[in-house]
Amino acid sequence: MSQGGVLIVDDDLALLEALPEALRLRMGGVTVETADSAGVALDRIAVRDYDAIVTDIKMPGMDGLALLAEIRTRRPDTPTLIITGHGENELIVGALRGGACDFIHKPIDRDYLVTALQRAMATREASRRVKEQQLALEHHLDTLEVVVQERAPGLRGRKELSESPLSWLMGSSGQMEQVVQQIKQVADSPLTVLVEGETGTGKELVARAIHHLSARRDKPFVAVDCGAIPDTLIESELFGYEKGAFTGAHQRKEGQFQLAGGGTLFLDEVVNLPLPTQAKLLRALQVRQVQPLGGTQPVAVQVRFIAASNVPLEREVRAGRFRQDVYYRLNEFAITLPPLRERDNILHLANAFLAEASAELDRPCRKLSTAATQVLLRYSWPGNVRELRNVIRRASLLASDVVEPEHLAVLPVDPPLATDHAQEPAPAGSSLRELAQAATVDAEGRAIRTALQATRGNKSEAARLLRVDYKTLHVKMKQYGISAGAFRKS
Amino acid sequence: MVRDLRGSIRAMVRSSDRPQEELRFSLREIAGRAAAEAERQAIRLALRATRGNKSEAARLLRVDYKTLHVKIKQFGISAAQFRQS
Repeated sequence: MSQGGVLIVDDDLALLEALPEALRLRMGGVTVETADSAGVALDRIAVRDYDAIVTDIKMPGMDGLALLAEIRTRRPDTPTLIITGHGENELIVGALRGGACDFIHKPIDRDYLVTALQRAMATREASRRVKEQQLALEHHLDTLEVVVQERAPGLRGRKELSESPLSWLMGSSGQMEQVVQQIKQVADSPLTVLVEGETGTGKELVARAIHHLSARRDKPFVAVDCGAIPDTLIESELFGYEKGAFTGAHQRKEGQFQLAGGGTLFLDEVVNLPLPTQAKLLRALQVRQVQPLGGTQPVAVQVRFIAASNVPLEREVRAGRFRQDVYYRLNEFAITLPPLRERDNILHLANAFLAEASAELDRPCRKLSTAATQVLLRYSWPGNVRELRNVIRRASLLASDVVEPEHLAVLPVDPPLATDHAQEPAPAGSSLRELAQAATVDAEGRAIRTALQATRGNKSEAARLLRVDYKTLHVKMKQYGISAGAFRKS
Repeated sequence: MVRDLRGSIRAMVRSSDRPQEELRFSLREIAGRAAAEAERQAIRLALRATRGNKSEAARLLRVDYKTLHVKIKQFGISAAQFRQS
């Protein structure tokens, strides 16, 4: 089909004689064709896609408005200009409503006509390009979909891994590759596993991965945070109690050991268990029986034990705070998670978390600036992977496109005074709610660190100072990657 | 014991004037204050950017106009002050 050019439709033959030549001269040799009636015009439109059409409004037979309507249905993209005679102003409104892009009064001002035509054609060209890009994009998406479908069977083969929390741990790091191998090795054995690693290195993820890859995967996975339960309650929590065992024990309650029946019992921060409880744990590990409080009959436990500690348990044994026999029982198979600062994949993880946060929180930011990567590499990451993830998630809320160092705020050791915030520029593109959330996280993290500093890492005291309950404090510390141990020294 | 601790922390605050000041408040109060301060700053910046146009500012901050209006009142911000110049 022929392309381009301008079509002029008018029953005034003198005009059809003069106008094409004038347009050709002024518009650099543009192709101009003519039609002396709407009928002829429609025939021409059928075989040629014009850049623009100029039509008189008053014509015998089909008039300009009817022609305009036809053009709108047959060639909706072709801009149409209307020529109106003297006293036809009321028709102009109808023409514009009918989709005309401009109108020209008779007698025709040729300069004005040329300008109007050029404008109309430029607009058409722009919208054509947008459409082309859209088509290209759709094509691209189709191609991508095909690729995804082609690769899906391969992914399904790796389902066990990608569905398990292991993907969170891995990522182009030789050290973590080794950990993953250990997990696979031990998962289907009955061995008790001890996972050691600083806070936030992913100990619970390892435990979940082991459970997930074991034959017990359909049975419960019960996680007990031994640091989150006050000493006085830990035994009833773990082993359960019989009705009437103590004041307030109105009915029998199952402990976590029983609740995990057939599955995996994960004892997190096992180092926090008081020594008397450790003795009972030893019995559970040795003879697979526990005695509920106030009960006379021991209850059999059929669970796989996984324990975790954020301090080297052997050191605690030497210091007399942890029973050696329990340590040996737990340490049938040991997995040690390296702290983030010793890993070689900080940036890989940061990028993965950024992508995750952008998708999940619907944020546009996609990149870390070079300066930001320097900050990430230099920071010591006391809260490890969890802290990195939190820092990146918060940064993705604050940054609008590229994450810069000021979005990271990872130097909580020496917090800035609250008044310093007054000079900060508005984080572009963040909603009021996100800004308030980020500020809350900042302030809470700062306050908790301050309280822990003041109490030398005593969580109960810190909780009292901050007037929150112990458990809330514990949860928030985990969330923000704050370790009480860091405040105990000094 | 706790009272002693709190007292000594207050003393520390007075002597150092560092953010230990925060420990006079509960964690919830601290979080609430921080959120309010961040909101106040953000609203002021948005109003400055839009020369006091509240509906524009609400769009920037992705809150509805009514919420913004309430918060402006609550924080005692005057939208008019951003309209000049």
